[in-house]
Amino acid sequence: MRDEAEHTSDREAVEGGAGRCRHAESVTVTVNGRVQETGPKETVESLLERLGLAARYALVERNGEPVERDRYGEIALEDGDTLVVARPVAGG
Amino acid sequence: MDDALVIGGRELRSRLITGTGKYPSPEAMRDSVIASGCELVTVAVGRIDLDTVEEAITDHLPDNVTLLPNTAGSATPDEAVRIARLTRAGGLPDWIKLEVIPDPRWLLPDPVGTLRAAEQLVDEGFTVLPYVFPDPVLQKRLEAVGCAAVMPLASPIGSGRGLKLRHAIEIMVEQAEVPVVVDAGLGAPSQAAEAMELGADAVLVNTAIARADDPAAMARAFRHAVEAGRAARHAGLIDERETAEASSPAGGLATRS
Repeated sequence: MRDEAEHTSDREAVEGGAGRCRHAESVTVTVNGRVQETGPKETVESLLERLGLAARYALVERNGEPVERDRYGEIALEDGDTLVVARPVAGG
Repeated sequence: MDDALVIGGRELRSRLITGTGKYPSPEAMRDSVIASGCELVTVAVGRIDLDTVEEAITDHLPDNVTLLPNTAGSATPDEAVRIARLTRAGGLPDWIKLEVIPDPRWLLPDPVGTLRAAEQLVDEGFTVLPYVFPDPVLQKRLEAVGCAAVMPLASPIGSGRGLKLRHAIEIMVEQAEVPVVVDAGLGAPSQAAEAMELGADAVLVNTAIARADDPAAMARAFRHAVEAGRAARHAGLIDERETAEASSPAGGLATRS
């Protein structure tokens, strides 16, 4: 997902911090029941785009809480997150 | 005549609300929504299937309609509240057609669960339009917690059987403090006209239009029927009589002795 140079600089920046090193590695989230590997800086918005789901009305729940549309671009996904992505469908 | 329907402070010119389910194609849905002249269309909420990239239903709707999300698929109040919160957070209108339906056979709504969810959603600032069995006592309870409209069924969803619970709906109309929208079971334009004649503020139609041979033509027929029924309500229907009353002079030319 990320190029080696960026990855290295991240590692240098967090030298001595074991926790952050883990954070710089891939993040595993579950989307609609399916496990997805994502990069460490994946947001709700970038995940939707990558999955081809950037429809006007994608509705997102993260760990059981609805996500405000205005915050799709700022919420960084964390390892173990569970997402539900829904949208309007035909109905009466 | 200024005869706007006001729900939750919003003026609507059309008294026909349509659903988006069961159409043979997205194009047929779009054509029908346009032909119906409706301003509100209902949509459900469903999980996206990650394997198939489907077109979004919203891409097929005309720009001038407002989405009314429903809570279809909710068997409990908690599920309905969850859907409502999700739709609002995701940028859909904060109007919600509240459905709490535990029974898959008759699709009849749970009055207790509906009232509980309505109270919660009104507290959270939603404009709540609950789908209910035509129970005038429940109507009052829903009004008391702040629902913007009450939507009694005419007969079970998709049955097309018309106003099987007419008398109960008449009581609801008589005592209504918020609009009464007859939702579900209307199978023919004549039934929609009947609902409007007895004083319903609006009707919601889906199956009867979507499953017609020509959905757009049927949508147009419902539009006219709703307008006709509303006009008739204003015009004042005559009282029924037990016996005949001639419209023409009784004599004619015959001599009877």
